[in-house]
Amino acid sequence: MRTRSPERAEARRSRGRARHAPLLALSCGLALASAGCGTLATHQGTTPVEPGKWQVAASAGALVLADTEQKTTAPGAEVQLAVRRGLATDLDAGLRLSPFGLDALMKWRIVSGNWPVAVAPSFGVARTPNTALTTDALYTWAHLPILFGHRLSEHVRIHFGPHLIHGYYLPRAGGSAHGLSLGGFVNLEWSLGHRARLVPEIALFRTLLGEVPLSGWAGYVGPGVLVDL
Amino acid sequence: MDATAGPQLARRVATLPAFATLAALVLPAAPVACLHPLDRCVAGVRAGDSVECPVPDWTDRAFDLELPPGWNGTSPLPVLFAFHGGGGNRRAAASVTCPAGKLDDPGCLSAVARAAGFAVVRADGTGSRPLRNVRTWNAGGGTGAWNCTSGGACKAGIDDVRYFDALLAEVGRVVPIDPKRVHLTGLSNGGAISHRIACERSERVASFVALGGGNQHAAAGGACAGGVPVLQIHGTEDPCWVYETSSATCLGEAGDKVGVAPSMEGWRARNGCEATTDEEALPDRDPADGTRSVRVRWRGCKAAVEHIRVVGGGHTWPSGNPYFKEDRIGRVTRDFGNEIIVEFLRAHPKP
Repeated sequence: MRTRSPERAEARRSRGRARHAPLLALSCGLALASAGCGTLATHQGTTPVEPGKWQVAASAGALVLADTEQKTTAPGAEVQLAVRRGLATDLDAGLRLSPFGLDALMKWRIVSGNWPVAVAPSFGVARTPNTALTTDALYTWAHLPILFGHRLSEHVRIHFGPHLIHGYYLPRAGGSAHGLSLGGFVNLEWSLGHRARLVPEIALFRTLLGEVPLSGWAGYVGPGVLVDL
Repeated sequence: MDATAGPQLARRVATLPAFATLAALVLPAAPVACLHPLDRCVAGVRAGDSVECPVPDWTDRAFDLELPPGWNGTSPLPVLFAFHGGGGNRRAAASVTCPAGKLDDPGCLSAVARAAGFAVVRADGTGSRPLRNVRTWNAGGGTGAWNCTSGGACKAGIDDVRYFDALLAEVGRVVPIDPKRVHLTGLSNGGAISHRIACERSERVASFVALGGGNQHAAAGGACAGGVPVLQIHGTEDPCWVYETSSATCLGEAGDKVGVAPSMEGWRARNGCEATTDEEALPDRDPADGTRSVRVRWRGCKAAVEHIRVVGGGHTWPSGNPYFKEDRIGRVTRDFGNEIIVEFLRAHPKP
């Protein structure tokens, strides 16, 4: 329970509205991206960053979110910036920043050769403010994509695989909710010179259990860029 | 695939549980460290207090409770439940009732009601996914040609009457409630859920004022017990919930919304009124607002049935905040305000 005088509460709300105005504008465009799952995209291949080297990545994409229980369909957008560092021949780690949240990333190549396989678990958290669109809440999520890769030509590789997402929603207003979604992705990794690669990706998810970020379907399409430093 | 790939994969996958264990330990701790969920409210609040409380077993469905300044701390309180419109939330429900949206204005519903001795409760409907502060009430409909009012909560079949039961019980844990003076109001989807709760909890609801929202629940065949005094306030140029039964809307929803006439006819019959009415023009206090209002009272009722027809009015709260531009929601009448709403409720406790 939180107690306050009406006058103070009203003044605080008025100040809060003014303070939240820029956040509201930001929320309109970007809240969908972080509401419950961080990002739906992987935008990476099976090859970890070389030991001791850094890689930066950026991506932007369009979303379609369809809640089959509430019978709503909403468009959305998401952007992300990531940095990775090679830790070992088959292992790298990094951080990914999305509009409201931060992910800890890891990629571990478990099979080498012509058909390499990697797992890329990530764990993230986001805090959303109380606006006309979003609640004062915390979201956490765990991602487990499994990446299968294959070289198609000298400059092009294809990656694909299943992607499991667990989202958890903890609103300040009480209770909690979670959701488990299973999806899949396909991306192409085009070499752009020695250090840069373009990685367009398409992904589709279905909720298996629960309602975070929604109860239904989600789709993603967008380009990403990887640059080795 | 390489011949060694199988054993290589199996060996490395065997270490994955270590990562899963790490995640299981770290993830639940993160939210607890950063967010302090609302504690359940307890008795002991005082006159003039405002508290924010969760409703147990209802995720993300909290409420604000504002107490009248002159309360002695022990007397049973009349309680006014004010429901937000579709797409809004409890904070929006507060500002829409205020001139220019200013919450410190003495003309806000909360201020007028508390000055009249009411405790005011504003609760949250069901959040949309993934934008969870865009909320709706399941006010009925969704059968035949009837609009499922208004959106997500209705389509998902949320039992908001059961939520009201839990809300009322929780408010009753915090303050003593006068059982003869439980009242409802709301705009649009908030008006429609007021109709529905009055229909389905007629033994609890003393009276209600619905604005810009009709009795969709009863129109779509829902049970409605009657015997609850009602004041319906509705603009004749409301583009979102049209005065006559219509599928016209300002939000692109499908289906018909019940008009004022069938909504009032239902209450007239259930409340035992004659078919004849008395009409009284309200003073045109603000000729520049483009509206004038007529108060209609049905005769011979066992429980009052009244309607204020706001000629030229839109999908708005009287003397309230025009939350969108006039070309989207129509005009706001400035000829009367929250005093009429509160006076009606005060005059109609349970017998």
